Amino acid sequence: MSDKYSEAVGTFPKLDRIIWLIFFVVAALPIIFPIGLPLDVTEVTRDYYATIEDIPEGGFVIYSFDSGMGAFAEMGPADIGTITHLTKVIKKNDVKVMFVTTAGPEGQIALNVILTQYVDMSGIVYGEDYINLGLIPGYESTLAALAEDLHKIAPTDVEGTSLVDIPWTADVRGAEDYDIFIFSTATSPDPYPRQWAQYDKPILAVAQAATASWIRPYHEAGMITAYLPGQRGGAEYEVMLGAPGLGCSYMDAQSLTHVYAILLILVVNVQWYLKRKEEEK
Amino acid sequence: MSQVFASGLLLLMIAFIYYNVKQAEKGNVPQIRELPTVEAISEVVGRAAEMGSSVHYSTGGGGLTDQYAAMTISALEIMGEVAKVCGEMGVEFRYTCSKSQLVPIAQDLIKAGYIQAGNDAMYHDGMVVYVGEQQRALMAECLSYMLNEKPAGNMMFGAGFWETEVIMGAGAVVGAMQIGGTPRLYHAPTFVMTCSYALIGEELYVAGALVGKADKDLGAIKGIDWFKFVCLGLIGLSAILSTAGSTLFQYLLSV
Amino acid sequence: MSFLKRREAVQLTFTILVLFLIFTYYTGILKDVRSDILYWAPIIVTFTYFIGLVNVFKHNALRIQRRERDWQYTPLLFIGFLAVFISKYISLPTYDWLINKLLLPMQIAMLGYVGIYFFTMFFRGARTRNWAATILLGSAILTMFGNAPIGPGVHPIFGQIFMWIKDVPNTAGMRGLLIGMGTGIILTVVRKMLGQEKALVVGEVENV
Repeated sequence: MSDKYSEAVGTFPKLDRIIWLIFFVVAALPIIFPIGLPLDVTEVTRDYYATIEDIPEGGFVIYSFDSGMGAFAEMGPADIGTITHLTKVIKKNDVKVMFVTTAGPEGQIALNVILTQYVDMSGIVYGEDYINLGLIPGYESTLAALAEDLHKIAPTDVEGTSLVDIPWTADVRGAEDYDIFIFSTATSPDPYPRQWAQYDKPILAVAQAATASWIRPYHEAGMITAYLPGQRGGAEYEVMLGAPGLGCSYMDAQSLTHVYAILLILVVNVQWYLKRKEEEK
Repeated sequence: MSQVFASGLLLLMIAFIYYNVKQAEKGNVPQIRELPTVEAISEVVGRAAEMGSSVHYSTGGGGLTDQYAAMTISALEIMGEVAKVCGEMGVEFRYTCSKSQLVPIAQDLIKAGYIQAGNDAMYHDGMVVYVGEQQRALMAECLSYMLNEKPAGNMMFGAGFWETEVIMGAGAVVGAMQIGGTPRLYHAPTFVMTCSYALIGEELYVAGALVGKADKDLGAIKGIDWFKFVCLGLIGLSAILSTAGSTLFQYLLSV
Repeated sequence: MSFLKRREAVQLTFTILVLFLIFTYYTGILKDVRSDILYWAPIIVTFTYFIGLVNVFKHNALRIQRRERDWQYTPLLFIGFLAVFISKYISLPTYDWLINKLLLPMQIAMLGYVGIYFFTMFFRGARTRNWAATILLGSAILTMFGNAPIGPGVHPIFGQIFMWIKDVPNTAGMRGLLIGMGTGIILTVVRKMLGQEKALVVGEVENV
């Protein structure tokens, strides 16, 4: 075993290991010893906040939760912030929320972790204020079916209760009865506006920072109302909610790791340039 | 109105493709520029043959039942060609996947490639490794294979997700010659930085058509290019008309 | 070979379904039938999980039988599967423990590799070989610096530069690539309908 271990470790050149070690230290230290860099809230986060705040009395929210725990570090703060805000409007305006996962089982695991460990669900009752439809595999075809005929694609919730027996879902047919669509995805955001934008209802997105550039054309076209991009979006949302948490603590680490990456690129290019000059001589 | 407009555009695109396919069948074959990545397939496999090593192939996390089906199909077409070249050069081929529906298809394609190369004795079912539906399992398996076996060639085409960084990064660490590509835009930089040749965006679909070297496929590519010119014209026209105060395009795209 | 197994049967089914779904999507006629067809998609996907399960077991059982490299770790796969499957029905606290204390930390740890390999890519691939690569790296540096709070903290101009890069060249490029992606998908579907795709159907090997 020890031979195999040293053989595997030996595959990584020493410099790679040093780079990774520095990365680990740079990422971990600010989380343990926060710096507290100031954070501006962007307009798109304000729009996101306002959209949820403006859900009408008795409104119906459908939340497609398709991210997983693997993306929790990046999207967790935004998801937690969104669900926390939803609990507030549930209490304030008697809003109803329906969770569903369409892409894979990981979404349900992550949703369960967030609801049980990160969000204060006191005063929120399952069945009365929110339900979870569980995993309905099929991804885009499920998204289309949810908007067209809810009871056909999801006759029961994850606990086996028929939607007909739940007062606030019994008469809900499809998109015409929803007030707002929210989705959280760790992959591409295309299926959601593709299937839902035609119903002319607000669509909110929680996505990774890299996916945000993919969402922008839809946002510019008005198909997606607002979005929270990655850790930064989650941190900004925590500031909007007045409850700095995970997201804000990650911002310092993000700042330092970005600076480290920039320095690495500069050092590597200077070294490469000097080597090339030497070879030319 | 947007439904009518979109359906009209779709029919136009299908008409362009159909017309150009028929033209290609009649002998009017368009000249398509070569894609260096496709040309590099034999270079990568040749390197593996010289070093007595293997070629690793992955289609990423996309399957055939989601929106990435078109990407995966193109990647599987390329894989069939790679398997054939591996058979011709006597190189071991290894395909790692995380979608169950790809297993029988991949086994068939790879076997067909080796049979076409006249090297069917070399094929075995173990060339296709299914790791479960988890992306992280795919990462772990590919990482393990790359670091233990050190393949001389590493290819990744299709719908790449976060496993792209791990697979291509591991390939860079072990010194494999790498080619790949994905239309999934935010992983394109990974391919650009780690591959000798990379396909960006829709080049993957074109590559899927090019590997077959069928005239009809080249005709289909020309049909798509015609449609892109129409798109460019519409974009320019909408910019000019909208700036001039016209609401024509707003009407055409209204829900 | 029976007609149902032939490639033409699969192609015909695919073509008819695609054309029907496109027709109902744009016209709204026979919407109920469309809903029924869409309803079948998750059912078929669920069945493919069984195919995968059989393959995983078969592949790993052969690994143990043939004593392949690191075969000693393979029984863990069967033990893990049984533990999660049985605990879900017998003991939910055990199931929760397995998921929250074992699976999730391992998943998050694996995803940590992504960050590690990003730095490998910076180290190995980020070279200003030509003017295009220089622009690429320059914009990457400005984006990284502007996106993190430290950039605007140093000077607000970095935040503005980041927003401009995000809003203008990046969005413009994305739009073009999205159009290309969409046309590429249509290209693949139409080629499939016209029968130009290579055989992706099991059992076609004999016809090669």
